[in-house]
Amino acid sequence: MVCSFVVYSFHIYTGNNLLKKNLLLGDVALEGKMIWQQNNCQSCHQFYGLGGYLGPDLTNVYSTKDKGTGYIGIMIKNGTKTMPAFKMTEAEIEKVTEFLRCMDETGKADPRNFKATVSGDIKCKDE
Amino acid sequence: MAISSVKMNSKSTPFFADRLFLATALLMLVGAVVYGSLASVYYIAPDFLKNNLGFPQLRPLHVTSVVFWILMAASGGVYRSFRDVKINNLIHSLALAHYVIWFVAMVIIFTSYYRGVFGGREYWEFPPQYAGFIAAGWFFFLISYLLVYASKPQWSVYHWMWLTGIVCFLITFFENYLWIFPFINRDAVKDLTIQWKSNGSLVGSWNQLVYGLAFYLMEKISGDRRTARSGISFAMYFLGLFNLMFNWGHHIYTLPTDSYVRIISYAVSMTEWIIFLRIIFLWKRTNASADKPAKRISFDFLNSSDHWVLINLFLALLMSIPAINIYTHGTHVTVAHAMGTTIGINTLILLGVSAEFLKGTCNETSSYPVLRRWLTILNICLGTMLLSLLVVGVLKGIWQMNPVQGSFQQMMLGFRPYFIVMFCAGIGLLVAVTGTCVVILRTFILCYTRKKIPGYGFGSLMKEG
Repeated sequence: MVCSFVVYSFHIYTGNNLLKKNLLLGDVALEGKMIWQQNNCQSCHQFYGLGGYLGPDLTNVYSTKDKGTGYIGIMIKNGTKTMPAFKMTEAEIEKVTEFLRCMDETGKADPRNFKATVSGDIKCKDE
Repeated sequence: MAISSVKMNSKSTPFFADRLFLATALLMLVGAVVYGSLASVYYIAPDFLKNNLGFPQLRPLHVTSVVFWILMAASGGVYRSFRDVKINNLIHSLALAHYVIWFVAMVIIFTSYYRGVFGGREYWEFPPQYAGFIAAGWFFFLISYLLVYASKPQWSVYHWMWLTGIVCFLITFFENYLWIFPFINRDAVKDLTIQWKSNGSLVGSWNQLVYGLAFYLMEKISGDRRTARSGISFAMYFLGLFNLMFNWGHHIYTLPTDSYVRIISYAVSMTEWIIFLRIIFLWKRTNASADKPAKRISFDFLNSSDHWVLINLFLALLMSIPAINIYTHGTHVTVAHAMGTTIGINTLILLGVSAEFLKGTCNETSSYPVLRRWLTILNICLGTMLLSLLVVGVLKGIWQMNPVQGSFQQMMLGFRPYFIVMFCAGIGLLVAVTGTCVVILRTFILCYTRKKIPGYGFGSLMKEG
């Protein structure tokens, strides 16, 4: 069991699913990710349903109709009734936006994108 | 049955690290419910404290307090068991070093949250440079555990569970910081996969510590040593370990990672709680005639946790089926499950451990009726909170799958009545948990300062029995 765990863990650490798709974060997106973490954005927001519950899932906010770059910038600068206005520079907002663009490219988080199978498993509708 | 095998060198320093851990853990629990209650206000009054102590600060304050409560209380319980075997000055020093390092870490971490300095990762939301304190303290815990128990023959199942919990905690803790390496940090999906692999296993590792303590308490209460050495107990232990290693994937069914992660987790997840339940019920059956519940406040806490095990088992099984998980994932059903397990199971078991520790301190029983009342209120409030969270979760799940969705804000506004119920239940929990902790701490302090200490915990308990 321990050997299986070691092999399994090693496979997870060294797997390269995004590398295969050429979707690794670039330097700007990586800086955006660090800004995201330093402001603890995950306490309210989610990626793929993982994170906080006070705000919406932002995995695909970049490509959502009527949202995208301008919307992200306005939300960060002005906040909402619930979300505080973050005092970020334009450069920082651009980096966070680039990070969100890269996250958007990794896949679709919307659960409507999945269908259930007879075995209780799920499949992506695009497959 | 005589288990008065407290082997202390008469010249050695009196051992008190276990009490320090348990008392500090109770304070962390009070902090956790205070921060949790403040955070829940955001669901009904979004601009409350927004520019002073925002939700991005309150959530880590709450979560970190909970994590420290569980880990410190579990450590205190394990240190308590050292009294049954041997304690020398080296072990005493290692336990104290563990405590001091963690205390310093807590001060630094909580200060960083108040200052708005974050690492921004789930569970461990402080900057990664502080992680060294946690790991160092835990390493001392591992060393002292091995020094005490390595030479002990015929380990009970709880000895293996504690060792597993201690070792696996260190592994998952290091794993949690793999993101600092660029080859993982740049791959956002791999990073999320490893983060939830380690978070899932982290919970599994503290569960090993807590359930090990439940076995230990059961043995001490019933005087029956067979249960913790039975084949079924060891089968349960291996099943728990199997789940700790492989069932974490149910957190990330919708993540675009390799599909084998989902399939393995789905298969493994179905199994974990079943044998544990069986053990609990077997214990209750054998214990029912011999035990004297009126004298055993810890029995009441363990008994209550049984019911929450059953409810959370059912919920966990449903949530681990991918076809259902796509409805519940990212909703408050997950929060209900997290609350149910951390409060209903882990906290109740650890409060039982703390209460037994109180009894062992000075054989005080007058506070038991008060503790029982708080326990009843705690159970009612927890049930109400879970129900409100489940309703919100199911409604959000339906909203998520609706072909025509309204805005997120509209949806959240529609849930307001349920959030008000959740908030009120949270206030009830705050009162009940604080009341319980105050009674335990007050009695402990009174006993300790008045030197009414006839024996050491379980040793004296068993002598009475």
